[in-house]
Amino acid sequence: MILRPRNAAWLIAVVWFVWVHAAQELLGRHEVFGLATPDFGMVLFVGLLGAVKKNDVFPLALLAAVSRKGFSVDPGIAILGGFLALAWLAVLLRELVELTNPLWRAVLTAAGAMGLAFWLELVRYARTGGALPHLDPLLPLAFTSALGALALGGFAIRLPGLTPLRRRQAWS
Amino acid sequence: MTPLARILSRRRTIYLVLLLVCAGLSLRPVPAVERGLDVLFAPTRALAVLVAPLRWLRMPKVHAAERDLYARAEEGRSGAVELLAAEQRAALPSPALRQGRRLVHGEVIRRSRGHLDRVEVRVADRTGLAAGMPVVTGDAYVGRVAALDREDAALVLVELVTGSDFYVGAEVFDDAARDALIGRPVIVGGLAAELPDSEHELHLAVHDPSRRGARAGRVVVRELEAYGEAYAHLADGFSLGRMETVPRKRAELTRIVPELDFKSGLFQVVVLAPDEDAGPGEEALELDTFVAASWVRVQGLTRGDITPAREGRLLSGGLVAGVSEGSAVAFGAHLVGRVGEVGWTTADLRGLGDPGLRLAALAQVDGDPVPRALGELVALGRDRDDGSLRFRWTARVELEGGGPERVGALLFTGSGEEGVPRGLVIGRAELPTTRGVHELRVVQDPEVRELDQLYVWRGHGVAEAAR
Repeated sequence: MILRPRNAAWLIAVVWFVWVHAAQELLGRHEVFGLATPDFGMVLFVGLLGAVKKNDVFPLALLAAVSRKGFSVDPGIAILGGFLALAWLAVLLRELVELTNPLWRAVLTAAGAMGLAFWLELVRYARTGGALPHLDPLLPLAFTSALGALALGGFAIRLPGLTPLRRRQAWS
Repeated sequence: MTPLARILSRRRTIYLVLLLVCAGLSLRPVPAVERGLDVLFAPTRALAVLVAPLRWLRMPKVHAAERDLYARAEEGRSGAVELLAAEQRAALPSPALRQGRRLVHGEVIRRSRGHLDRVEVRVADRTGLAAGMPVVTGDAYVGRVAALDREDAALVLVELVTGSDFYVGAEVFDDAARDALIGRPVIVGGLAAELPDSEHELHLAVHDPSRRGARAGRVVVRELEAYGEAYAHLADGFSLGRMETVPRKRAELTRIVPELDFKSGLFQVVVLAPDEDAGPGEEALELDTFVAASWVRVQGLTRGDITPAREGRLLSGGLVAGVSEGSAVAFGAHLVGRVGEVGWTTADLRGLGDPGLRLAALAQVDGDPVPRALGELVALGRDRDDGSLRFRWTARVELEGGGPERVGALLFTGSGEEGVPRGLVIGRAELPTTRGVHELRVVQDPEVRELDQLYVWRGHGVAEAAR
């Protein structure tokens, strides 16, 4: 059986997402990073979002959500909802901003990391109670994720095995 | 095409509807849909295996923690066994109230589904027990046996005095007349309305209190043997609490401050049976928390959670291995957390620092051999600076009347939470001694977070079958 390059690229993307999430989880346990651990999964997702075809945005959100679920006790449906919302936002914004621009990519990554973390906190609160979620503890996460996107976001589509996912022309 | 037309285009509309469905199901889960989604996300649980090499980096630290906690496990277990024996002794009535009664120990297992005023109690021996028998803890009245469970021969259902259709005869002894032999009769049962800003409190209702009747004083049970209630007299003399009268709007409210936290602090109870029954005078429950057959061994597949502020892990055991949602996860004598979602072969572990996690806790106050039931603790997360666990604790009874403002204590799991056995170590805390809503800081053994090999509680039934 021969795998088509694009299909193989999707499988490799899963592996990259899994490893990135695992590294993020490992860093998050370190005292130095804690709540300021960059959301590398989001950096990779937004980095790829600007580089893939429009039709690939939905599968990309699904893939990012599925791989994140493997490292989180948050409900899968909430994670999927978060990534779908971000993908939808990116599709809406594409006419106004260029997602391959490092600055815009950093802004969207910061908003995405903070928004997803807040959304998952809200879901956790709605389901189990406890403390009301607040936005301010998530600011370091947004900041470091933006820095991560500035430094590494452009390399996302250049990761080994992912180039078949690159779009050849602008989104229509 | 106008922008509005684009937004309302078919594809985007479908996408938007999908998003709204996801949001709705996230916030208001539907059990049937959740089960379907579990199947959909089941393959994701295998993904952590792909990154196993990253786990190996921390192996030396993990093994050191496991060895250390294992070495201290025996000490922790024997401490817990002693504590629980003391808890059972504390649940016995004082000698004067034992006369003419057979005492059968019981442990509250859980609230009955759909009945907040009914608890399920596992008793030492159900022989001779019947509906209507009073249930007490120490010298405090709790309620009556409502029924014997049809399926489980060790369970009885107990109706609490807080039930809206529960009535018990009582007498009020005025503080001024301490030596009085007969008090003023009242009927007690159900909950009194709470004043604004004190909804967390819980008081027993007094039915039709007369303006010329008692307004304050000690309230004890005094039942009339009427309507064929053969066991009612066994409850005579047990305390219901203290009557008080407080202003409420333009009127007054007479209510009883109970000695117990009926909402979540009811752990050990005693069923009172007539002495003429054949059984021995006192029957105590065996502690099965540390019976090996009650636990199933699992492996931590991930080290933590990538969502900030959450404390979760993926475990290798699932439904196939007998793991069920809400079960305690432990190592040695320490509680590590509770099981969250469960798949066929894996499960989520919610650590003690995971916000929203709920636990029933028991405290061994320094210098006091008698453990205290704290009731429910709700996790608020872990303090990132000092690593302590933050819990919200609603203290419905005073810990030390007239004592210091705070006391040091070692916290253990209590009873009444399905899936969590009593006596597992939670950590050390400074406890406020007054009633009210408090935030507790609990210092957990740091090695508990380093473990890879863990054990999940399978239930009392498994231990009993093994014996």
